[in-house]
Amino acid sequence: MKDQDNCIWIGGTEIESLHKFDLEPSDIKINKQFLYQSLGYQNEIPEPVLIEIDKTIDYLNALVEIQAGFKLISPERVKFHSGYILIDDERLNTKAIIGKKLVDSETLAIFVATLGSRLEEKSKKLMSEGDLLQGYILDAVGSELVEQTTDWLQLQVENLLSENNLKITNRYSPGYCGWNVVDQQIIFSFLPKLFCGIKLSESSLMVPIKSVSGVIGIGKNVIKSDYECSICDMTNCSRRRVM
Amino acid sequence: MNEILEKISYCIERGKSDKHAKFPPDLKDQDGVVEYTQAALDNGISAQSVLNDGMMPGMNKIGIRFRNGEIYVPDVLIAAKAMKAGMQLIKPFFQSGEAKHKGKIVLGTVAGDLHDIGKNLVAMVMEGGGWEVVDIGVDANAQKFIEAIENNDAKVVGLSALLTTTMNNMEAITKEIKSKFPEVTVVIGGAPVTEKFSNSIGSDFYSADPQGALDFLNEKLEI
Ligand code: B1M
Repeated sequence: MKDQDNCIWIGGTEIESLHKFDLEPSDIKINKQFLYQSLGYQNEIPEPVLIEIDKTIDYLNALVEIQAGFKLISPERVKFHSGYILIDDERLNTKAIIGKKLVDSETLAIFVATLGSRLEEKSKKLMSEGDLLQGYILDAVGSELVEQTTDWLQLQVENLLSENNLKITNRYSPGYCGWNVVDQQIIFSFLPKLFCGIKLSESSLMVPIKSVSGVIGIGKNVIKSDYECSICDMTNCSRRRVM
Repeated sequence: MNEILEKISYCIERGKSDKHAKFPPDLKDQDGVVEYTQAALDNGISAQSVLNDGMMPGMNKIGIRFRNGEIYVPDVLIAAKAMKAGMQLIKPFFQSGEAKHKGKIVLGTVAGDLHDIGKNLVAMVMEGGGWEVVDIGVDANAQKFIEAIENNDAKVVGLSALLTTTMNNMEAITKEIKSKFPEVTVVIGGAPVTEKFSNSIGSDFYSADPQGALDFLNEKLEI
């Protein structure tokens, strides 16, 4: 992996900086427990599913081009309110649930991560050729991989800032907990065009599909908890992390 | 029910496609959907009956168990694969007109949205329920739906979306379909969709899962 930016956050003094990583699939470890859970399983997993998962993980490398990155925004550009954030004059309407989690932050990291589009093309092909299980498992493994990539990216933000005695919040994404997915348009406007190869459509869909966007709060007095699925109102979500 | 048809249903439920399939382990080396379908046809059971009384009950049980949260998407896919294996033997009877589908459903993911796994699952459950699916793919606008309805003389349309933004495109599409074909039934679904939203845009039915959409079509529409 490489951080393509040599600009760093210097103790207390805000330096806007952009960080971009090209990752090898081996940099990210798939958490199989989470994967089983995301497929719905708590206990017994049918053998064909286990076999397919292992097979998929084995050939995954050729199908992904993992890119991830974040931009640190200068604190004087950002103002936090309980239901929204202002960056310059742009308003991110996070709404109350996420707003409350970010309100003690001093600034933000805006991030994206993606696997590229080869994986989803292969999954579509498999499904259209009738290999339904294979196509579906590949898609689910991809979802887990991009989530793990985002965990990894969050750790990079955390490590970089901890050198300067700054802490981070959990990450939050437009589209969750009442925060309208349309606000991705604002998030992307602060990133270079096609950053990490991601294109945001008019309908606020990221292409490649296996992509994630969001923000992380930064400050001296912010808190990060282990998992935050409990704050999400989609209680029947198959991906809800149960601890 | 005829014993062979019961076996077909059971093998679909268990995901046992043919004799050589190693899964499920307790049915190893035993006949599967393919062998029982062939046996049924050889015994003079009509292809229509194999489909209606053997395959569909098996897939229906799977759909209900999925809706009840007893099994998960991969289990549905394993069953569907088993059914597909048997369907290969039934296909010629559809072509000759000896066997008939319940009707045609045009299915697509709406404009602006590229997600297709949910839609594919709906297609699979509909096929398992005896419907012929005209899959028009992803990013489908009103025009594409309307053309497919016209070209296939379909009476049912299914719309899928995964984001709230693209869910909103369901409104214009539904309204255009309804204004051109008031008799066509529009069913919608996808993660962000709700019954309230469905009512507000004038669609006929919302289902959180594929089986619900199938049940609705089977019960409410005598096609
Ligand atoms: C015609 O009749 C019918 C009847 C039933 C019908 C039907 C039609 N169509 C579907 N159905 C129904 O039957 C199917 C089988 O049960 C179901 O189809 P689905 O397509 O829903 O289900 C699939 C088979 C499996 N389901 C899935 O694959 C989606 C699962 C969840 C957890 C999910 C995942 C995995 C992912 N995501 Co995201 N993701 C969520 C999802 C929450 C959830 N639990 O549903 C959803 C869809 N995501 C959401 C969001 C917001 C996002 N995601 C994003 C990213 C991702 C991952 C990459 C991490 C990953 C993969 C995405 C992918 N599609 O490949 C982002 C967008 C990505 C993009 N490309 O633009 C991002 C925007 C977040 C961000 N800012 O990064 C939410 C969308 C709601 C909204 N606000 O718009 C979301 C509902 C989660 C939530 N809790 O709110 C039913 O809906």
